[in-house]
Amino acid sequence: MKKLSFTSKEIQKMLPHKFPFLLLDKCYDIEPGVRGIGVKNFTINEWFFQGHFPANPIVPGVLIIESLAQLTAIVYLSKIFAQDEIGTNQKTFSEVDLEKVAEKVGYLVKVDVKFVSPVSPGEQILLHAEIFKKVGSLSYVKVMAKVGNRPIAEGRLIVSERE
Amino acid sequence: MGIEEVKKYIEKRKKLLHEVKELIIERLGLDLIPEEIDDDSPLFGMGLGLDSVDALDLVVGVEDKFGVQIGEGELLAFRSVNSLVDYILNKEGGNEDGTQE
Amino acid sequence: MEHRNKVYWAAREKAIMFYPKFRIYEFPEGEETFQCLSNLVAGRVFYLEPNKMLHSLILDEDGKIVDIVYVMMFEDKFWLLTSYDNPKVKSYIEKVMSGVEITELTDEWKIVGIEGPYSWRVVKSIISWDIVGLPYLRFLESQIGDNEVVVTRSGITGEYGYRIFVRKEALEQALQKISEFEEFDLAEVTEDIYDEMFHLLSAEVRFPTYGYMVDSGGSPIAYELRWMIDFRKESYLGKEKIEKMKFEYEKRLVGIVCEEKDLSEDEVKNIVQHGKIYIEDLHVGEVKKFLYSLKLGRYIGFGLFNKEWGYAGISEYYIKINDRKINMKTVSTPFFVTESNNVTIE
Repeated sequence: MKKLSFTSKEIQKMLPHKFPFLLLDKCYDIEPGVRGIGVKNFTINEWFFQGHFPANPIVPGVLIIESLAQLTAIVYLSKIFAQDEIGTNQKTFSEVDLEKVAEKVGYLVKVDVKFVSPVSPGEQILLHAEIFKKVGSLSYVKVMAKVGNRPIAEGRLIVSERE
Repeated sequence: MGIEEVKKYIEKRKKLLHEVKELIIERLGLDLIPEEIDDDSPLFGMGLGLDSVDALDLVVGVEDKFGVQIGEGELLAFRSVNSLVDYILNKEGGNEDGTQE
Repeated sequence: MEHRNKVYWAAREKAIMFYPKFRIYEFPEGEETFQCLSNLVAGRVFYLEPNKMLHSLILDEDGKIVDIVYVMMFEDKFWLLTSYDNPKVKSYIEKVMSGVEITELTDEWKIVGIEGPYSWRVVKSIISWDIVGLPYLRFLESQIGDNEVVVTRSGITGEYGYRIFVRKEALEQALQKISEFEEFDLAEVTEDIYDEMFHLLSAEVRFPTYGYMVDSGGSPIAYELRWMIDFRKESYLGKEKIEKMKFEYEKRLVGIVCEEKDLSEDEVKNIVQHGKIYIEDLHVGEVKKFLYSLKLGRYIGFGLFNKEWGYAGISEYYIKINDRKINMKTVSTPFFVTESNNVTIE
């Protein structure tokens, strides 16, 4: 299975999330329905640094979780682009009804993440998500975030399909 | 099996029961100690009252800790701590109801 | 025999109807009631919210079971449902709830129980679609004709179950409505087979029914009812002893399945009354319950074992009566998966 990548423009078509809550800049090495890598850059100009905190800007942990959840959504939704069983070419963006894709985005139901090191303006986090197990409409996702080689966060999310 | 073997089996089962309870407590962040969890009462619905999100978290925890692979059709193994232990012992080589050969 | 079998299979495959009995005590809403209830009942009273029920225990000062009860929280009041034939529990209620107004409503209401994998179809036809989404241990207030009813989703057989509380004067009308249900035969559990039937149905799934599965003065630890206790609560009747019993207890009640199918009536009676459980020549426990499970096609029951021996998964134990050794094994419960697990309420 060929690995997929998505540009910001493509992500914006797939996810219903928009400013100020679209927290994924690009992603690559996406194995549809299985795992993938995402990137989020943080600049001093982010809306939350003003308040978090005026003298010491650091990225709120919950927003790192949100980035990881959005990456998870992309990994999950990209199944729609996967090769079907008879091995025909993967569908291209124009052939798929992208609104339908965005509609399927589900919810976070459980979060268990540890934060190891803070993230400052000017840094780029690399996000990893792996859909480890699915039971019914629930998926267990192993997640991790790093800045270069420096671990930032690690843990698991449980997400639910939208009913 | 004679008395001695049964005693050994009981020690093994007691240990597993305790480990499963510890796993449940740790994984799901419950404010309980193992002595406060029944062996034979339901985990979901009534009894401990866990839900489907807890179920998934527990499935992965059990797979990790006890080295078993739980199929989607095998989730009834989770109805109580006792049935989970039966399942784990069974995977090691025994009968479905947990009795050893 | 035939009637009994018909009712049993209706309970396990379709639905049954019966008249369960509770004593109903009503208390006014408020902080005082909450506090008193929390002292009286061992479980998580504080987790209650309107239309939610708590299934829990009232313990005595020795941490032993006085009764198994339900607490129902309405918007403007509480109901406490206790066993009907339990002379001791009332004195506990009067003592602990003395700070609030207690009204006994037992004689004002009649209760109809409907249980079975398809019991929801019956209740849906007489109440409304609202019951489809009703979760376990929740209740709703509705009508049958002009009469107010309270419908709880609660059962004792391991199948879907409901209790319909209707005012005494309105029972006729409710029964009339129920009799209009035609999708399948709703079997009635008549008085003559009532105790025997619910004894069997609750034992098959180890459902804690007071008077059948659970006796007065029993230990919540031996009976596997720790889940009914809120251990972190600061105070409740019996707490001091329970805190010790968690670690220091002597007996364990474990499910047993008898391997022999050909037992005479006398032998069964003997087992029920004096069955002792052994391994080789060592006496390890007593038979506490012994009944024939129609669904399993075997004799099942419970053994009260000395704590070092009371564990599931052992097939070396036997029951000794007279000179006969009857093979059995200890098992996890429920003894089988009930049909309701394969049915979705819709």
